[in-house]
Amino acid sequence: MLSKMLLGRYIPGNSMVHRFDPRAKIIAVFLFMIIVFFANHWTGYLLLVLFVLSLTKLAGLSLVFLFNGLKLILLLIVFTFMMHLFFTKGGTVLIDAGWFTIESEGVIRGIYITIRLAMLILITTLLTLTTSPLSLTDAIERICRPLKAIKVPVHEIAMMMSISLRFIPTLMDETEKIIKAQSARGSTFMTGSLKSRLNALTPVFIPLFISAFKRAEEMAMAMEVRGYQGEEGRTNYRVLDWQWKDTFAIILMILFGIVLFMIRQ
Amino acid sequence: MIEFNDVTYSYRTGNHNALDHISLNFRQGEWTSVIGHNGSGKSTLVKILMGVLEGYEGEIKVDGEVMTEENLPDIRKRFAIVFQNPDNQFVGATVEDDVAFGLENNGVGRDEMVNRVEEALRSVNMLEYRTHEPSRLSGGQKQRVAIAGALAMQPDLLILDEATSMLDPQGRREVLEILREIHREKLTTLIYITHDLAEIGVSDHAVVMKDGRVINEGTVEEIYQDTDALVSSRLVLPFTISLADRLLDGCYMSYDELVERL
Amino acid sequence: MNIQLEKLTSIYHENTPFEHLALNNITTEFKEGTYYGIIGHTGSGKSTMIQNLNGLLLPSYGEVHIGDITLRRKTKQRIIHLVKKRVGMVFQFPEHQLFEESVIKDVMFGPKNIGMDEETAREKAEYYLKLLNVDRALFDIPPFDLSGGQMRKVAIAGILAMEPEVLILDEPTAGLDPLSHIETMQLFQKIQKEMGITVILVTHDMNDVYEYTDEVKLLNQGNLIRSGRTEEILTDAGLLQKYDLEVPDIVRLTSDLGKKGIEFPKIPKNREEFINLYMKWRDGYAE
Repeated sequence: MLSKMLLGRYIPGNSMVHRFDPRAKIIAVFLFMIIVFFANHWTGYLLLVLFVLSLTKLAGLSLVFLFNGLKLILLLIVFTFMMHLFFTKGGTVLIDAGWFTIESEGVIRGIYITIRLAMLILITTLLTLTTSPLSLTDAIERICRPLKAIKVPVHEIAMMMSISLRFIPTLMDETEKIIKAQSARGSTFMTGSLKSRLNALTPVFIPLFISAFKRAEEMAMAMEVRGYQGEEGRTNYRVLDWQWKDTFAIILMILFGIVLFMIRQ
Repeated sequence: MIEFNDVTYSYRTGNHNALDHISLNFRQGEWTSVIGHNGSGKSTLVKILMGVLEGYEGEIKVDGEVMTEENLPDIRKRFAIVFQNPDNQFVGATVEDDVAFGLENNGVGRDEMVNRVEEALRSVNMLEYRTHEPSRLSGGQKQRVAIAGALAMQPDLLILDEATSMLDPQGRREVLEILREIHREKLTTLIYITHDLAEIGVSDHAVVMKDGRVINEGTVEEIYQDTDALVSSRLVLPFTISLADRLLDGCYMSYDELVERL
Repeated sequence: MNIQLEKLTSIYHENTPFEHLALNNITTEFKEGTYYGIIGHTGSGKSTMIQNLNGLLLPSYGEVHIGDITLRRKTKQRIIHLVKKRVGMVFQFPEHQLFEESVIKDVMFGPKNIGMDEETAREKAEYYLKLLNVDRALFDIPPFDLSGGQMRKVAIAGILAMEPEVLILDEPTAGLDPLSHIETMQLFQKIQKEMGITVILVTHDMNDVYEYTDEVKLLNQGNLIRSGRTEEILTDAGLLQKYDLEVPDIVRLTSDLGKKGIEFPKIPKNREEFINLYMKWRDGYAE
């Protein structure tokens, strides 16, 4: 179940979408979030769907794969659709069952909102699927750099994010090991009342915290002896390479927005 | 290259000296092993050298210059260290990022950085893993990356603080082999801290510590002259040595020699 | 109590693209009171096998019989809990599992979980802490204030105090200095002999396997390659090399001496025995 979940995962690849500068991708997704709201009738929505579908194709991902990975989210979308179906009134009455009515405006609004939501989810999933967490962190650091002027510690936050990302698998492993070790000592996690299940977590969390603190301490020492003193005088090994195609993609995105705005009714 | 002159240190909590009037000389281009059981003072020695612990008595000279609070930051830049736990010193998200970390901190230019990272990874045979994440590496491989990170800094001195103690036998062999190669090719000055006598075979010079004191010092052959002193320091004689000691009147020899002489 | 594996197959992430066959149709037995070694290269299935022996993993196919308890694919937690009483497991770096506010309480955690009352649990805890040479003065301090070596002893006492009939040791000496290594291995040997329990040791250290175990199971890529007497398997240099395992020092030396014409009546089990055999040979040779 969880292994099929796609939200927030990265699938390494070498497609055109993978190769765009992560900054360009983040800006484009941001623009898309605005553009989505320009569409207000079916041609607009059709264009949005076509746009996202062709991007998926370009990223070398199959729709079936995406659909399977986003099943859980689908529930949310269906729920939103239902809400509109039953509660948005207007237009002609399609079904009148006495205690509830479905009216044409509800159907249309429901479909539109569903498309909007689905496209937003798809495009952000495409972003994380085609961009490694590390590049995302880098890109966010660069994009947010102007915030330093108002004393936001952008570099430190980015460094924290990248170290956290690096430690996630280590801590997951460790959690599993500790759960197994305590379970071998007769601790039960699966049975008993909610209270006893929560109690059973203490022997897992305490060792986990202790080891995390120890790791943090050793890591801090290792960073210090390797000369880490914050951002000052620091160079970067990873460089982001903004190319013409990235500028082009952003321009295209803006043009797309203008077109959608023009065909509004 | 580094001289300890009558250095004494005690932890605030302890009632005895962690280092008790230590005088030692680590020579340029040599591989010096410091051997001792837990609590013998060998880790304290490293911490003082790295400036992590302050407030010791006596003096430490680096290339003839006495180490002070003022010159410590500059001196420390010339030393690189590899610690015990492979996971807790891996800062980068990938192998190459980790090797580059120290270079980034020191403001090395991007082009030179790329070259140095590549060269360092090649010298520990990890170049083909450059884009791997640490979770996909074995303990031995992670320690090799840590060594590459240290080498990329082109240090005058490389310190290994029990760098193999958490590895399995294969990882231990990998790391020792790499170090041997690096030492032979680049004549890097090494300080190798260990509690395992089986690992000191290749060193030029060995120092045996017990209860904060140096109880024996010399070439590997010389320190094996007095096996009783080693055993009383809670050290365990390696297989070959222990048999040679019992059957052939205590001589330092290789495995092949042992077979030959038995 | 014996443990039988019957056509045990273990598959990780079944029916996903990450599917991985960790153990393939294994039938074998662990007999009461015997000291076993499980050997094999990384990824051979050693760790999967021992987790199947105390219900941490359930078989994908096949059965595991632990005394009169049978573990299958869908065995209930209630049954699995019974296995924990009988089969104890010391994990690699067991000191990482300490969590209680005092040493004694931590050791009592396991015994209480398997149903011992407070008083019995305390008795057992004190007994095993003493057996492992943990000073009484340390019983009431937090385990985290101890040195690494002492923390490991406390963690091991925590398993022993559950008085399992089968004790599984997963790389119990990883990260220890050579002297503590020897002391720990000798302690397990003593416990095994005195209490007559089954011990199953998983380790990379072939010298330990050779010196301490009675029987060996050799795994490779999820298959059981050989199962038999330690003296047979660990003296078979060709077999060990084929599976990328080291030949024990004593075995190697004895065989190299054999090439020189120094023949012993048997291959010695440890250094002392080697020295004795060699002395005898030398005396005989002198005459």
